[in-house]
Amino acid sequence: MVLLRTRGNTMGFEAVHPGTVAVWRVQSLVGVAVVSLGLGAVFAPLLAGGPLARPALLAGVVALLVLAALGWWLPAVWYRRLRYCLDERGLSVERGLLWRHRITVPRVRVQHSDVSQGPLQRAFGVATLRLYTAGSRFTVTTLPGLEHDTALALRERLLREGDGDAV
Amino acid sequence: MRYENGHPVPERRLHPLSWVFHLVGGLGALIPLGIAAALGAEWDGALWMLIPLLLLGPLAGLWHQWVYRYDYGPEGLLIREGLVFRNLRQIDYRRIENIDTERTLLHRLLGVADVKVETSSGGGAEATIRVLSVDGARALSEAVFARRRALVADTDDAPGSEGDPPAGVEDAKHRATPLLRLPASELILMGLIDNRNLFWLGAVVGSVLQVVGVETLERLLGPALLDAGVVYVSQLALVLKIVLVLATVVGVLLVGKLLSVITALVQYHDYTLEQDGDDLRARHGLFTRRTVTLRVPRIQVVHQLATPMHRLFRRVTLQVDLAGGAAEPGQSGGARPLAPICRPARADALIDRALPGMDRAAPDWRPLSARTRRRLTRLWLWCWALLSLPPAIWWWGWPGLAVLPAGLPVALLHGHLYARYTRWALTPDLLLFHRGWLWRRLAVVPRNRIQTVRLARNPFDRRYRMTELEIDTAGGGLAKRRVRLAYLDRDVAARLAGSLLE
Repeated sequence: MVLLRTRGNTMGFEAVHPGTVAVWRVQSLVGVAVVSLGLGAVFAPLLAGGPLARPALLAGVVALLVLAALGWWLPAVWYRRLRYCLDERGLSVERGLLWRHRITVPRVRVQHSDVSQGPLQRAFGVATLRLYTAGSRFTVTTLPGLEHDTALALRERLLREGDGDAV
Repeated sequence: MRYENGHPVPERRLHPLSWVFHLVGGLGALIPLGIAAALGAEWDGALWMLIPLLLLGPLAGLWHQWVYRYDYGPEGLLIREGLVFRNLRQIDYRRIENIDTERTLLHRLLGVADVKVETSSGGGAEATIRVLSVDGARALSEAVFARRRALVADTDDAPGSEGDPPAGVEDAKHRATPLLRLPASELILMGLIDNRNLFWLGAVVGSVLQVVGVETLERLLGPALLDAGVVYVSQLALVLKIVLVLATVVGVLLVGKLLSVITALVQYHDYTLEQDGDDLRARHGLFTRRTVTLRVPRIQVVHQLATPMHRLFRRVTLQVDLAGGAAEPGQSGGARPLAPICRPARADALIDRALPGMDRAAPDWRPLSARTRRRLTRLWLWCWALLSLPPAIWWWGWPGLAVLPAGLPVALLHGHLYARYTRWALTPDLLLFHRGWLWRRLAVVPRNRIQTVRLARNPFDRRYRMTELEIDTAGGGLAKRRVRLAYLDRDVAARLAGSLLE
């Protein structure tokens, strides 16, 4: 897939597992379907048979298609923007489409960590790594879309040298 | 301390008058009861049925006082609550960061104090012991901290940032030296500078004047003005309006300032900041006497704030962010005043006390990106245009476009001054960040307190090739206390992030 090509590994940053695109797509499409069903259930009885029924249906279908297209396209872009890098200092996660940011969690600051996997993620073999610090604003740093084994290995590598000073 | 089957059972009791404070604390719960009583008076004769309900409060207080026990366990402070549903809480001595006492007027009349035990976990006091005699509270504090020191000294693996207590903690403890004392004159100054309640007062007075307003004034001042030779009614109305506006402004200012002076005098009466061994301790208050302990190793960021009023009187305010500080209602999370008001020269010494061993001498100040001035000027012009153009064109038609250049001087001035006064510096131990020109805020962050570093670029940042660097510590978290270095050159920000993480 052309959309899934990764950017070059600049400065040792790596992309996550491509399977996560499928997970996000399923999630966003299901979300779109639920919202449109809900709105349809509310508005269909109100508009049925009225003079506005046809344009409303048309507008609804167009909106649905646009949302579905976004739901299909955005995950691929998010995926391309999501990169991580583990070096001797700690883990850096870079993400964001318009508002881009890179957050770096030093090894010594990790209080505890989670590797979690939902049913959908399990089907596509990805997992989410969460790092908790004692900070006040960015207490959780999330790295979604890692392969499950990679996530465990990453945590292992991160925590092996990471004990020490808590606060 | 007693042992049952090898388990410690706490034995110390509360002050015999504790039930009174239990009652006072739960006074809010009596309000529905009062309403019920008032309603009950309607059905005459049935009122006596409420008497058992009224007794519920004191009885609950007595029960609480009777079953509540605390004691010093081998590992931590033990607190037992309840007899039927028992709860035995142990608070590890090494986790106890703060023991604060709080005394309202009633506490002071009866010679007792509420004792709050705080740990490093956020979200309020871990335990509130209500109430102990003043001596009891002092004994508790001393006992806990003595055990804490012993434990920390024993286990040599105290976390690095806890800091090793300097040699001679014991004797330092006994000669507590006052670092700052605020006489009434300083407090009056503080009240004058502080304008927190001014806004609300303005709103109230403004709306009151709207209601009583012009007519009253006309009735009061009209004859006098007529005598003074103001003949025409239109003239009279204009004069009255001007008088009204001036009176409003002056009245709001006077009453507002008076209120905040009184607040400052009551709240910070006899403010004393002392060095107590490893800690800083502040005592203040006229009616409610507070003792706040700032454990120096927990201090994450020191903020120095100077508003235009502060600068007029040559004063600054110092605040500190504590790690996991209790986010009590009405108090911003973890933020404590270090000096509600002090002279700039004194502030430097106090910052040195709050961050011992951190060298602050001769920081090498760096400016923001060279494009900051242009960006800010443009930003202000855009905001000005969006806010002022629609109403101007609505009222005056196309000539209204003339308001656009009117915003230019302010935009230019703000861009220029902000870029000039906002700067940062990195020393071997600290990151210093000075922000703003009208409201000036200096944040002093020890580099070993930094938890995470975040670099962010929004579309505007990308257009100006800038990056925003934000650091997170274990304290603070409130929006205006964020340490956020915006408008840095992209490569400068990347390099700074790299050196902060070393």
